[in-house]
Amino acid sequence: MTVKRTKPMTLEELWDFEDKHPVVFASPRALAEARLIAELNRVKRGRRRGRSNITVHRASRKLATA
Amino acid sequence: MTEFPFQIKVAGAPQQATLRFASRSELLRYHRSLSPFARKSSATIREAVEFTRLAAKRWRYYSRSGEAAENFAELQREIRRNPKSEVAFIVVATIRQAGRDLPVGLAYCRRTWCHHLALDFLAVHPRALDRSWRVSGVGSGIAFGLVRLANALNIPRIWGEATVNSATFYESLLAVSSVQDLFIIEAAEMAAIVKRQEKTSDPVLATKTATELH
Repeated sequence: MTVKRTKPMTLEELWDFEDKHPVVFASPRALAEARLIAELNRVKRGRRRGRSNITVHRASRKLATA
Repeated sequence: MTEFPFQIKVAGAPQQATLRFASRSELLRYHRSLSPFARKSSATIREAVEFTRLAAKRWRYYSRSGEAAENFAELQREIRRNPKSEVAFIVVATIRQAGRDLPVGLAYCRRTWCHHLALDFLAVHPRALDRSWRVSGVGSGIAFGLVRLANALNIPRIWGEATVNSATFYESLLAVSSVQDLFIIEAAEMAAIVKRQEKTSDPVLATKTATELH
């Protein structure tokens, strides 16, 4: 692959460019993976919360029958 | 070699920013500093918040399995231990204001198995995107810091996936036309990025940056 060079920008020109084009970038694959990890964490947290609710429910039932 | 200084412009005046590895606690602080911006109407600011939060979650995920580094020494150690290892790390850019370090941006990177640097997330802090604060040059400054880091580790290539939003930035940064799916920063581009940071209109900062980096 040949790369066509263009006139390099000065630092000041690059700063002006960044002012008009905010730098907020993510690689699509990295973003997809990060979203999957966030979703997995959310599901795990939900399961843990569900399990702890069952424990509380069982404990209160035991107390009630004792 | 734990900090990489670079220049930005704050409220029209040149200022020095610093790029360094994010520790778990620093990442937590950065994460907390995003809350006031989560409900802003600007789509770019909301995206900056989302990308940063996702990058932090991804880092924590890899950290749990010992595949993330919190500092330069840790990264070097891991590379020595296993030269084919893949290690994730986050670098945070900060500026010093009123005796405090304020975060202005971050990058999530991976040292790949073949000793390259993959740039997965590059996001300016929502605070620095606020027009009233007038901060310029964080993105290109972080890129410069990553080049210095690559030089320090003898990494010959920095690469990443480009998108419709980021392609023009990388074209400007690298002085090449038509970046498509990938951008690649190798020796020639690295040298140009370093040269540009050191050639600034502010002679005081230029001298300071040049001496600190060599």
